[in-house]
Amino acid sequence: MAKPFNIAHCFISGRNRPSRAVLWGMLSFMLIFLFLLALSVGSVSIPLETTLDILMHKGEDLVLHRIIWDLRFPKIFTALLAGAALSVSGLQMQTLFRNALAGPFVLGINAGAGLGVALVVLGTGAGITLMGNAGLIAQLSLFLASILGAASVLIVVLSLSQRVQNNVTLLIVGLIFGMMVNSLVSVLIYFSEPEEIQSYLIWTFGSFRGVTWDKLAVLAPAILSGLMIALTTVKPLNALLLGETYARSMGLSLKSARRLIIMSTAILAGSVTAFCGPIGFLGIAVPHLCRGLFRTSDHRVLFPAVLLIGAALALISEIAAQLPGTQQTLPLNAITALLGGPVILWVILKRRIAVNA
Amino acid sequence: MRKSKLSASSLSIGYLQPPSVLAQDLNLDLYGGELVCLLGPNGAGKSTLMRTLCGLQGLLQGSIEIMGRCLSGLSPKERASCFAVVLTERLQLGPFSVRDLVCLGRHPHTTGFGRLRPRDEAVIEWAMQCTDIAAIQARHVNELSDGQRQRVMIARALAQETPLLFLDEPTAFLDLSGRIEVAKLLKHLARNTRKAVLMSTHDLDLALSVADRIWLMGGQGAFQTGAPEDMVLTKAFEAVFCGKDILFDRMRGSFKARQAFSGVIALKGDGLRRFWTAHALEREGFKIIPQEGRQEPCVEVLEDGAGWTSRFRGRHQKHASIYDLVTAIRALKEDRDLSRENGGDI
Amino acid sequence: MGAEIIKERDGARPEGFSVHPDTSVSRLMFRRNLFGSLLALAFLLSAHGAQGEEVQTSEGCVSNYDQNKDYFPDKLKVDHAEGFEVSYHKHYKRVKVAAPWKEGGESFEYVLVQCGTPAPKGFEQAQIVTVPAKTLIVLSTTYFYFVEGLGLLDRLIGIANFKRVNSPAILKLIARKKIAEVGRNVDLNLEYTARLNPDIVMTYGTGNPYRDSYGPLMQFGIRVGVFAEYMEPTPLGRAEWIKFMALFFNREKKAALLFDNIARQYEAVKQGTKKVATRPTVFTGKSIDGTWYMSGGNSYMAAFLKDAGAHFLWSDNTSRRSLHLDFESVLKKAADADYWLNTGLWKSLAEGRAEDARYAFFAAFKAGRIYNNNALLNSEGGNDYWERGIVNPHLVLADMIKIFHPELLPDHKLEWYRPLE
Repeated sequence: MAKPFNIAHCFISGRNRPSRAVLWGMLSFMLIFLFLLALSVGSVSIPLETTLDILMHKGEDLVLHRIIWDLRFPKIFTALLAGAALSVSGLQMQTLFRNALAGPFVLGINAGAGLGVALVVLGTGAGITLMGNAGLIAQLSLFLASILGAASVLIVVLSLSQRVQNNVTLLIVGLIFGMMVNSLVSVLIYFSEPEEIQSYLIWTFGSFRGVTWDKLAVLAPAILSGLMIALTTVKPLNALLLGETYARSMGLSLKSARRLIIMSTAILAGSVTAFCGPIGFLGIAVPHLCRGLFRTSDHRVLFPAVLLIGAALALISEIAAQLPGTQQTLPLNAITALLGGPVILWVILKRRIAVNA
Repeated sequence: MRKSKLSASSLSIGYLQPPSVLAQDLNLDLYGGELVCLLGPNGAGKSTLMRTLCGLQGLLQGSIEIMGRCLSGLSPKERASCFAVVLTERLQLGPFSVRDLVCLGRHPHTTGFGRLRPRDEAVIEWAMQCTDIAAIQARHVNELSDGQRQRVMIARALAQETPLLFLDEPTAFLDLSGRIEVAKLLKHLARNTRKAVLMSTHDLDLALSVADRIWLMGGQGAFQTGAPEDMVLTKAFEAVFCGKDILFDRMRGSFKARQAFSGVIALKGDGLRRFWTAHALEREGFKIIPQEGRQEPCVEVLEDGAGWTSRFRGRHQKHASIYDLVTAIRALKEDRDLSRENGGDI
Repeated sequence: MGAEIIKERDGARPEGFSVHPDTSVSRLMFRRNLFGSLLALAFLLSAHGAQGEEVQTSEGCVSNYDQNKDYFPDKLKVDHAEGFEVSYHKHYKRVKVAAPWKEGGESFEYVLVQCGTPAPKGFEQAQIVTVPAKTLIVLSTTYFYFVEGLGLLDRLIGIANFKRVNSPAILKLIARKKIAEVGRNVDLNLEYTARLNPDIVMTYGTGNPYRDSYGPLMQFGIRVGVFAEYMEPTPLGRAEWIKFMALFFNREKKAALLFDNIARQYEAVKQGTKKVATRPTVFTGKSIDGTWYMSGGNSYMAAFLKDAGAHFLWSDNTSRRSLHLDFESVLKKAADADYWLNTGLWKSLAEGRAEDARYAFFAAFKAGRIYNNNALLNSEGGNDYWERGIVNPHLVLADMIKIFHPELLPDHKLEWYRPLE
């Protein structure tokens, strides 16, 4: 295909860059292509004609029908939403803290979600495994607990942020808080049975596949509302590019900007973690990829860009984790690390695009 | 009766934590169309004063009024429509084009997503024209020279369309031509846009040459204001800067190191050549005395650029350049000193 | 034929000494065993009666060591278990547990020296244990019935955890405060255990040095018998580890008797399914966070299912451990499977549906043909399947046959498996 080659060539040489409009077009096309690819590829190989039949509700095989509609579709939508959510919150964190390695989880929100879950499990009695293996009521309360955990951390961080002037201080506080909470979770896990530990370990691998349509009915509105709040942070984030003093001189209320940013990040990162487990690298790599591709730090361009590329990268990770054709699967986090890591390295090493130190 | 854009009365500035008062009971005004230079040694409170005046820092006592309204009563957005700043902070940006950066200046005037309307575009164009950066608007900020970047930041501040413009040491890090460019630009802006421009600087020469008014902050809360020439004549600079090693030359309007004179010398000549010959001899430690007849030591400036002659310690020499002249005299002086040490005498 | 052997079970569980559930058959076995042991003892005593002071019983220490004498007349033959091997050398035995976790784990060697005889030289790497051991601590509920079957309850001085115990004999010892609670893995109370000074501690390893109990215990100088019965790919292989325990107490003969009994009964039960006309299809496990953990084709569960006359849908691979599959491929292959077994902790179909609504796509789910092996749980969640089920593979097999071919065992009632509703 000529188009991807062209993109790569332009990216590398920096000359004859395609205009932004062309770039948007190519990315949208790629996303659609990936969507269709994810739909047609899986551990069960379904011929294309059959897939098309099923899409038009003409298929005869009920099992295949279910595979497409109830297994692949929800997983694809989850990947799209999660990829977009994590990338947007990663972008926000990188700008707010002026740190190239910041990501959605720097505020310890993810740790809060994990702690919430761990506490619920202990509260309902010993012997119940940590995640994915619990009974009826515990399942519902697991989701609530993780959102509550994330929200609690959010509230603490928010109140700290009112008192702390400097964003760097806030970043450090968030990181340390996250570490403390994580170590609490470690202690809880340490005293658990091997089966419980295995469950927790599996949770840390991350997965888009556990989300069914009914769970998506909760996840999608959560992410969409998070994205809408994030939309209101685009202008403040642009002001913050020059630093807090300039931002204030341009009329930005730091307090309310921080509040909006932290709130949207918490909702976005917290709900993705609650449903899919902790998924790393996407939130850090995608903003860099977008800055490099569009050669700007303007959030009016980056916001839609990370939505598209984040969704696309998440889909690519999901397709790759599938090991198409085989029945084996790989943990999602391993794939996002393999894909995201080199991207970050590559972007940082390209000197022409000076990244925050 | 001119109306000031900014008026401060009984202003005290400083910090609460740890408590320190840098200056108190200040009464200041900024008028449109004027370029004010804020001078003073480090630590005197220049940055604090600027930050307090534009609302980035709280005042300890007194009041500040912006065009009749109290500063503390303004919302952040209203404040942003009054003041635009250019700071010395190094920018840490990813890839960002010059034009996009100038567009940021429209922040207080745009809504929601930050979409630019025709009026915004017009102001941005105007700002780029003023600062002569329209040609480089597509380039990335990180690729610019310091001077260019400074102009871009000024353009951004212009795009913010405020009656008051504050610049914190805008000529630091710039080379000579850069400094002059910026100073000229600011003067031009003050005049043509009727903005009140306040800039702090260490560059006394520049301040003397472009400022309409000078605010001079000495340490311990001392504050004086006036036209640059007024300040010279009232010995204001000496009071603030001079010490036992620093002198202020009121003729030339510059500082120099105080020197101990080690001898006298007579000088004959006129004009520019005489001026600079005297400069070199003073640098060498000689006090110039008026020439009376033939005396030693003395230096004569020859006409038509034929050179110099000197009579020093009995040696009568001719020199082609000031450097030769001074070096020869120095050599003789040192010989004499050496021989004195060795016990010889003349 | 299997039906004739397994009779109706009585209500009450017997107290004390019983490996088998209280069936009339087992009572018969018990009497036969007791009689057999007495007979053997009488024979031994009479045989050595002439050599007065050299009386050597399997219970006691030797007083006069004769280096030419073979002190272990009852030698083990291990047929099914692959995880341990033993060789006899007159007055000591060498036992090796080759790979107690994952292929390639550290192996454990033991030199079991008859009490009263000198320890052989040259075995610095092995743990040297004087047998028969007099005191014993077990750290897994799976070994309870081994202890009981071998008649070692009076030598038991500690277990890991009181909360999850189902076995009546152990519960009684707890009630009578005859045994201590020493914890396990990270909870292991090392000092307490050391103070109890057991001759041997039986536990398992997982290869994680931060959690396994055997490391700290061995550093304290305590002898640890490392069990790897859970690595065995056959049900009988797992049960045969009773012989491993027996080695430490010179109870080979008893273990052999017990195990032969179990093996015979297992074979007998298995016979019933050899000629079934159709084998219902079955699959196992469930999805955890997007990955379905399915029993491997060569795993112990697969062996069970085959012996029970079912067709395990994933029997065509050689994996001994679980397979990590994708929900899609499981759905494709097992959507119309007849039965579904071993679904983690589910106690009802509602729990399954709450976890993931898509489980309802399986025919077995819709028809209520899911069976989980958590019928016998105590109040703390301890599952009797892992206590009594391990030593009674023939009864577990019976449960399974009852599920797949109920007509073969009309009188059998499910013990550990229960249908989910």
